[in-house]
Amino acid sequence: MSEITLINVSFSYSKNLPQIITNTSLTFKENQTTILLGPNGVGKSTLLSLLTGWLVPDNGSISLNRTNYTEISRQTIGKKIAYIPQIENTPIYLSVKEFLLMGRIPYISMFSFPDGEDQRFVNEIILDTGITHIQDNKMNEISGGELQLVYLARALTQAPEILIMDEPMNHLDIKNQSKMITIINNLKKKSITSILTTHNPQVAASIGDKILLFFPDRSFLFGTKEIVLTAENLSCAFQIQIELFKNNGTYFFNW
Amino acid sequence: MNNSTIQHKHRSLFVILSVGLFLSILLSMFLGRYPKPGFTPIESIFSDQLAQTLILNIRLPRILTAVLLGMSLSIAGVVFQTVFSNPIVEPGFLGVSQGAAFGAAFGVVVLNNSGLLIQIAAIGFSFLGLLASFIISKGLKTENWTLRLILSGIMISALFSAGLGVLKYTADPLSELPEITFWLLGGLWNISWSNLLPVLPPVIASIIFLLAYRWRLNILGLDEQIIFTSGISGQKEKLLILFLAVLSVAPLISIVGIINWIGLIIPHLSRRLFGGNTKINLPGAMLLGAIFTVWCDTIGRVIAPGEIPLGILTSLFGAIGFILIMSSNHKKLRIEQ
Repeated sequence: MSEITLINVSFSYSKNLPQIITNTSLTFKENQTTILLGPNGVGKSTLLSLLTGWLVPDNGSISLNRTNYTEISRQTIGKKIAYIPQIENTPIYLSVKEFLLMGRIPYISMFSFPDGEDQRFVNEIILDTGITHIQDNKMNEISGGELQLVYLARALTQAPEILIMDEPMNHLDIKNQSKMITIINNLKKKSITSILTTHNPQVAASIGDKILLFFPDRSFLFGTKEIVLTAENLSCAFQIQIELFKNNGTYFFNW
Repeated sequence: MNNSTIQHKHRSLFVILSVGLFLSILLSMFLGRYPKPGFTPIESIFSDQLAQTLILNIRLPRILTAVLLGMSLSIAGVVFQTVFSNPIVEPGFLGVSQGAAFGAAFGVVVLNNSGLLIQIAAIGFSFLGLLASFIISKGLKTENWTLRLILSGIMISALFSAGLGVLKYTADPLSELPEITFWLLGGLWNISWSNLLPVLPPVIASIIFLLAYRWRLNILGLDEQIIFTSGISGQKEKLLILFLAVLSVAPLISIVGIINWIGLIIPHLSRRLFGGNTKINLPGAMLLGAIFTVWCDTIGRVIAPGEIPLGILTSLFGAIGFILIMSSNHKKLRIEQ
């Protein structure tokens, strides 16, 4: 049960460059799934990097359960917040299971190895994420979609309370997308707060409790899908004509 | 293959290598050119005073040095290749080898060619090389930290090798130049208990540290943001581990000279045999490196009346081995990122 609060946060990559995030205050509430939706280049990934602590705001504060990041040790953050990057290269030549065990690192001291408890924990995650059939494969022998699931599984082995995902649906076929959606929806049962980016309004509508919709000028709207995901808002954000159809609470988009 | 058969295979390999190392040491102790080329009879250790001295005070420290040298170079090789996610780096490349070489030549030419001063200069300049690589890397304008470090390592190495060139050029061709050349080829003919013992504490301590750390080493090969969000201060930890890897190697280099290829090829061989997990392939590399080095050195001192420098043999066998490993196309354990 954790939440992240931003107060008056501003960030730019260097002094000469325009601010990517300007004076932003937001709360990512516990046990909710928040979707960062918007076109390329509006600062979604930058915001995620700020949330993980990888980037540090120029002004303002980011806090985890009301404690400023600067006052929390790296290891503690590692136990609370897990992160799944956009996957560009295959990581080294470990087996999937060896890779997943490394997610236990915040719980293992510098000179120890994962023990039976860690093994059991990882086995459970392997079952939950449905990757039993590839657990003994090498990381460079599995497909892009499987890799995405493995990265998700690795983040879960950290036993996080907050899960931050950068484009987790990229590279996934429809079946794996639906698998991913099911897994993310199930995270709420474990009281995990999820924050993820996507370009796809359909994904946002099906799993988002809250939507953070970015516009090309880097302003945003934050709220439930009923309020944020309207045809006008989306058309304005993506700069093309988008139509919205609702059927029994399910959203369908056409563009 | 499922997990338990792989584990079983690894365990048997470890037993074989450990026994192999033990036998290699034992065999090497009785191989030599006294009383005649070939085998020194075992009973002569009790009956022949000269043979006893030879085996216990000359061959034994030398073999132990070879064992430690092989171990530390191979472990450091695994560390460097993992931290830099790059299969062609080796322990000396962050300005360490060239720094040591420059330091030794400096000792020969400027510090009156005294043994101890050469050693101290070699250690001093190898750490200076490492330090300079770090400092320069901070100023470079590339985002990727490991790339910055690699680039600055290359620059520092180039500076030191330019300096080495100057020293060689000014060195006395009859007395000093041969000394530098021998040092650069690397060899164990000078080793005795008196110069081995002082280097043991840092070498053994850092080897033990790296062995205990070996599982966690895996994560330093991952994407920097993943390391960070796993709750680790990646840069600090990488620096510490690289420093210890150099600390395990530099004192030995200072007494034996530059030995190439062990730290490059043995980690590859170990990955072939034990897979990509550093928890397993690091001790694997340690044993393989020790055996490889003991045999290179033994061959070097037994095969010809004049000794063949160790650096020549490790390069020869290392390069041949590398070609063989790389051309046998095991797709499974390839190292590309």
